[in-house]
Order: sequence, then structure tokens, then C-alpha cells
Amino acid sequence: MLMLGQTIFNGIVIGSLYALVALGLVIVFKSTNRINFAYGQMAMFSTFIGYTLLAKFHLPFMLAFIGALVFSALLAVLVRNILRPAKSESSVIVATLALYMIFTAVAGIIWGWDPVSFPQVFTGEPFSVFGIIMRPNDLFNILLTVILMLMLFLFFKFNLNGIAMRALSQNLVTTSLMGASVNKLFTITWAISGILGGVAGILVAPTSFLDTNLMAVFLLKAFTAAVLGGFTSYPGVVIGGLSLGVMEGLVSSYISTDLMDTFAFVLLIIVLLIRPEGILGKRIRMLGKTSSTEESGEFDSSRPGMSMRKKLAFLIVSIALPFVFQGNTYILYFAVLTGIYMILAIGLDFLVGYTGKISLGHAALLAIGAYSSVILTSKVGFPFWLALLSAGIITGLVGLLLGFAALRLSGLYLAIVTLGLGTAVPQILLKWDEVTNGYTGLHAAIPSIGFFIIDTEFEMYFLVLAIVIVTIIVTNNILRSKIGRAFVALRDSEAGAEAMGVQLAKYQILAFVISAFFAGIAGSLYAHVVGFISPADFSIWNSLLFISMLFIGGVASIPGAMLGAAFMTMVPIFFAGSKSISAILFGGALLIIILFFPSGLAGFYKVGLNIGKRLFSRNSIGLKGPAEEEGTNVATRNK
Amino acid sequence: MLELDNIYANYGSVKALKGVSLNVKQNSIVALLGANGAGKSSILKTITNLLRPHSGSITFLGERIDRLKPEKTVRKGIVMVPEGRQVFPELTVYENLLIGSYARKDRAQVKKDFKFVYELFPILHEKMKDPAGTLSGGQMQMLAIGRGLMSKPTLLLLDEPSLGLAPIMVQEIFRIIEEINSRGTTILLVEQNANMALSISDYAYVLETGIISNEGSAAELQNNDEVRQSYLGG
Repeated sequence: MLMLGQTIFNGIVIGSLYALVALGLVIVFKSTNRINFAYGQMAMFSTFIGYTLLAKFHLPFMLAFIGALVFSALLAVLVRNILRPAKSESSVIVATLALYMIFTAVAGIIWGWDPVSFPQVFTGEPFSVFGIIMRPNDLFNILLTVILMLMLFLFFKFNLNGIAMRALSQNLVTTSLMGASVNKLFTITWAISGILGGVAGILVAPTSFLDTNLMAVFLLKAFTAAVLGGFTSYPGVVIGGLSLGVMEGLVSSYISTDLMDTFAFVLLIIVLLIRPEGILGKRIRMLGKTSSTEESGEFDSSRPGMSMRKKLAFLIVSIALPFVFQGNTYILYFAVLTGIYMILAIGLDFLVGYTGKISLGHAALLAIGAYSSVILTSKVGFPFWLALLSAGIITGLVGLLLGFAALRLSGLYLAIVTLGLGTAVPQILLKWDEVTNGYTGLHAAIPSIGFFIIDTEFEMYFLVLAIVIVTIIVTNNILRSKIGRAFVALRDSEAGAEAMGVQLAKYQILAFVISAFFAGIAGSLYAHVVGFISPADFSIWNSLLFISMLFIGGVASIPGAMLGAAFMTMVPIFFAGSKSISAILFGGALLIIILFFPSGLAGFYKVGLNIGKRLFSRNSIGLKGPAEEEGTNVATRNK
Repeated sequence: MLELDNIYANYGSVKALKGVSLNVKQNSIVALLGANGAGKSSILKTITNLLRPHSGSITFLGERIDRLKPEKTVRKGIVMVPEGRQVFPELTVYENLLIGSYARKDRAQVKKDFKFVYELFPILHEKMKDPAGTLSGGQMQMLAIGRGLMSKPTLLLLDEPSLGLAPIMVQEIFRIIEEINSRGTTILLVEQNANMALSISDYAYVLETGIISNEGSAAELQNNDEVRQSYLGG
């Protein structure tokens, strides 16, 4: 009984922090329909600012606390302004992912990658109430959270700006007709969100260590809390946060401590499948689908592929390459990696480019492919080729499950679920060590086909090249068939395509299966080429890199995906030794591309062409917006 | 009081207004008539600058307002009651009205205006704690007008206030519009229901595909054969 009380108390302490972060996410979501995936990293950043104020400037705690919060609010407003050019839901998601990378890298440069310890506010002796042990710091957490929530409640209920913010989330244009400056309201919204995140960061930091990953798992839990409570209801979100904290506590004290971190993910999936609107949320079938049309049009399925001559040229270059660099295993190794990532990127493109769904969990799929293949070859004794295929199929099955989950979810929720998968899989790999060998990782067998042993980079190159070519051919054939057209129809208008008799469910699931299959194949190749895998190779960070690949290269384009994969694999070579610089470079490139050049590297020449056309045509005077956008679309199509 | 001079405006490549000039006198009710897509609502949108005119000028009480943001025109005393009510469904009736007074500083006067609006629409007082989304269409229209009044407009722009309402409710709404006008608020009214609009207005403009095709006092237009055939049902 005593233990139960203690567990519940501890759950409430941690749950109130989940609730704070979740509230910060939901406040922005409600008024702007945007989800900030960089939110956790922003909180981490301002916590570091607080740390610097404390440790370097020796400010008293409260001053440092306030300083960090002011910074956090300003940072949030800055982020809001950076995101302004992003129009569609998916471009906002990707832009915040880019910011995720940039904040992480900048924090890494400034404060280093090693954890530091962050002091508690109150260091007094723990005391006992009815046998439950409480530390003063715990009570401070709860008290501060309650005060903040109460202030928010009063603000939204009685303050004119607060009411206007609620009005804004219901009808933007009419709110501006009431004389309210939409700009000002958005700024207030983001600032509040920033403050909540900053508070949470500073309260979380003493419970573990402060490093660039401080809020990574926390963000997923906040998402779970938000989804659990219903994304649209403030009291619901608070209840969601508290109950998640308590449930986690119960799981870890009565079932297994190891399950604690994956529990949130499992709960997330269950809630989304059973009751996607959460405890108190309103029934919304496709959350986030209401406003803002996706910018399609720049993806054109009917554009002609590469000419035969170009294809031949590429083929000749790629066959010649290993002979030129035969002695240079370093270059060949990276060429092989590039090929593997190309396979993954083409698969990911199925999902992102052709169905408009964003997956933040492809590193997890890669991991599943890699681990299945290694386990099948070393423990079951499968030959390499069979393990390769099985890895694809096993991962494809995971994709099938994801696809079923995705059926009920719009882009935003799907991104959250895949984020959950991406966070949970490395955790599971760590914890399930009798099979995966935990931190230490697994050695992969040297691949062989028949009697032919593939053990040099030179030979691996051709193995991967062959699979890349098969991948391209298969993908091309799928995309040019009825299936491909159905994908594009669904991406551009689900309702429209359904009305024409396209079965949404079937094709959506299919896209997931294909995408996951390729990820599994890539994972198997990765394992056997690198020769060694461990959970650290498949973190959420890698999923972000894959998304960057795709958008930097250009979505809905096979050459784009390949170009992106090549770019992302090659750039770090030039900045060897500095994780930060290449991360900033990727993040920055991703941000600029998603905001200003939505068709990626592959689309650069088109953008140039459009600018040229625009300069020479004078019919774009007058209204900004529809006219120019339509102009762009027409120009792209004509191309 | 309000003057539009040779206004051109586009939705993308579609030309909505092609040189519209009109004039609204203080304390009058002016109606804009015309078929769907003639540009009636676009005129209201250019006045509040939800739609930015690309040439021409709009003057209100001697001041150019065609470059002011929507929220700034409210502060000048121009308030628009948008088409289709557009009440905030999840806010209570009271909160909807309160939002109407967002731009005002004179909080004491706001309290009195609440009283005024509740007198004008007793049903709103009765339902002040209900979410606006639970009201009937007519009640929502009343709330939308009441919310507009809470901004203390000198010029009230009404976009299709009779849309989708039962005939008896239409009469009630028009009676209230006249009453608001009699208390000193100038009204610019966009209506499909031309008969009803002409019955209360002093002056009217007829729009056809972005151009003013006819104008005159309400009596003149009621007797104009062309207008009668096209808009008044013969």
C-alpha cells in the first residue's frame, strides 16, 4: 500500500512535467495547427542557457531561471518567424525537424556533447508524509506546475488576449476582423509555449544529466500525454500527462523497470488505435487536414523519366567508378554506403513523396532489417541472400502494422507514431540483450552468395549496385502502373481519389509495406557491409538524416532521392571529425530547401526557370499568393 | 463618409473588381445588389483589406484606408459582419461579444454596450453562457451582428445577413438593422434578397461581374425595369 502511494506520488511529480511540455505543444497546435518537433530541443537549449547563467556567471538560481525563460520565450518567437514561409503541414513538420538538427548541433558546439549535472532548486532533506517520502524539490515541481496551469486557465478564460487566442484557433480571418492583430496573438502563443518548455527543461535537468538529448525521450512522452488527453483539450492534456506519469510508475514498479521507456510508445499506439481523440478531445477524424492545402503540383508523376542516353551514362559511370578507385577502399566504402542509403531513400520516398506521409521512424525500420538479417545468418544459419530477403519481408510486416495504424491517422499523428517507433526501437534493442547483445552490439557475417564470398569493398560495391538497380527498376514499374497513379491521386486528394473508387486503405498500407521492405533490405546490407551493428547506429537522429536526404534531394523523384542520399553520405566526409558542422549544414540546407525550394536539389533548375519566367511575364502584379502559386504550377507542368 | 474610387482587385488571376467607385453617406443605409460572383462581397473585403486592391483608393472620413491591415480598419470604426455568421463556435455567447470589443480601450462604455446588445437581442442574454456553436442560424446571425456592434462601429458592413434564414427571421434581422441605423450607425449592406434590401435602404448599387451597372436611390431602382426584371422578380 505504501509502495503504491509512493509510486503514485512519484508519477505525479514526473507526470506534471510531461503535462507542461504537452501543454506547450498543444497551445501552439491549437492556434496555429502546427506541431513543433523541435520543441524538446528548444527546451534543452534554454536549459543550457540557464546552466551557463548559473555555472559561469554565478547568478542566483531564480535569476538564472528567469533568464532562461526569457531566452526560451524569445527563441520560440524566433522559431515562429522562421517557420512563417512554410505553408503545408508536412513542410512545417520537416522544417521543425531541420531546426531540431540545428539546435542540437549548435548546443553541441557551445556546450559539448558530454553530460553535465544541473543543480536542484531545493536541496533540503526529504521528509515523509503518511509514509510517502517527498523531497522539497518534488513539491516545488508540483507547485510550480499547478501555478502555471492555473495562470494559463485564468488567462484563457478571462483575459481578452487569451479569449482572442482561443478565437484565433477557431477562425483566423474573423479574429482579425474583430480588431485583433493575428501576428501579435501568434507571438504571444509561441512565447507562452516557449516559457512552458523552458520551465520543463529546467525542472527535468536535475532529475538526470543535462546534455543535448535531455528532452528527446521527454518529447515523445509529451506527445503521448497530449494524444492521451486529446490534442485539443487543455484539461485533457494535463490529465494525460499526470496519468502517463502514474502509469509509467506502476509499470516500472510492478512489472518491469526496463519496460518503462517503451511503455509510452505502446500506450501511444493503443490510444491512437482505440480512441484517437483522447480522453477529453473532440472527435476529429483527420486532425490537421482542415486548413492549408499541401503544395502539390511541384511533384509531377507524369513527367518523363530520364532519357535512355542519360541512364546509360549513369550506368557506365557507376560501373567505371570502382575500377578508377580500386585501390582506395575509403572512397569505395562510402560509395557502398551511399548505395545502401539510396535504397532506403527510394523506399522512404514512396511514403513521403507519393503518399504524403512523413515517417520519422525509418532508422528503426533500418534497425529491424539489420538485426533480423544478422540474427538469421548467425543464429539460425540462413545463407546471406535468404537473410537479405527475409529482412526485407520482416521489416515489410512491421510496415504493414504501421500502415494499419496510419489508416486512422492524418499526417501529424502518423509523424508522432513513427517518432515513437523511432524512439522505442533503439530502447528495445538496448534492453533485449539476450538477443541483441545490448550496448555491445552484434557482429555480422561476411556476405556470400553460393561459393562467392563478398569481402572486399570492391565486391560489395557491385552487390549494392545490383540491388540499387533492381530497386530502381521495381520502383519505376510500380510508379508507372495503376498503383503509382493511385498513390498520387490519394496524396493529392484522399476524398477525391476515394470517390473515384481508389481504395484508400489498400494503397496506403501497400505504400508502407513497400517502403518498409526497402528499408529492411537496406538494413540487411548495412549490417553486412559495415560488419557490426549496435543500437546507437539507429537513433532518431538517423531518421532525421533520412528525411533530410529526401527533401534535400527532392521528394517524389527517384533521382532526387538518390542525389540526396549521395549528398548526405558524402558531405560528412569533407567535415570528418565534426558531427556538429555537418549537422548544421544538413539542418540549414533542409530548412532553406523546405521553406524556399520545395522540390529540392533536383528541382533547383526548375526554380531558376520559374524565376526567369516570372521576370519576363508581367501578369503577376496584384495579389500575392494564388496567382503566383498557380503560375508556378503551370510552369512546372509545362516543363 | 466612405468613398471607393476606381477600385481594381483580383483573386489570383480572376479579376473580381474592375473599376468600382461608390460613395456611402453618413447615417444612411446603402445596399449592394447583384448576382453570385458579381463582386459584392469583394467590395466589403477590399474595404476591410482582407482583399488588397491593386489600384484605386478607399477613403474613410477623409483618410486613406486601403493600405491598413484588417485589424487596423476596425480601430477606425469600420466593422464587418462576415458572410455566414462566422461566430466562434467554442466560445460562449458572452465571450463572442467580448471579443467584439477587443480593439476598444473604453472598458466602462463596453459594459454599457453589453446592455445595449442584450436589449437589442434578448435571446443572447438568455444564452450568454452557452457555446455559440449551439445556437440556431438566426441566433448566430444576431450574435454576429451583436459582436459587430460591440466594436462600436461608425460604419457597419453586413455581408448577406439574411442568408439561410427563415422569412420571419429575415424580417426580424432587417428590423434590427434599421434600428441600429436609427441610432446613428451607417450601414453598407450586401444582399441577395434585393426586395428586402431596397425596402430599408436609402441608396443602392447594382453590380455585374465586377462593374457597377446601375445605381440610384432605393425608390429609383425599385421602379427601374431592368433591375426589377433581374433582381426583384419582375
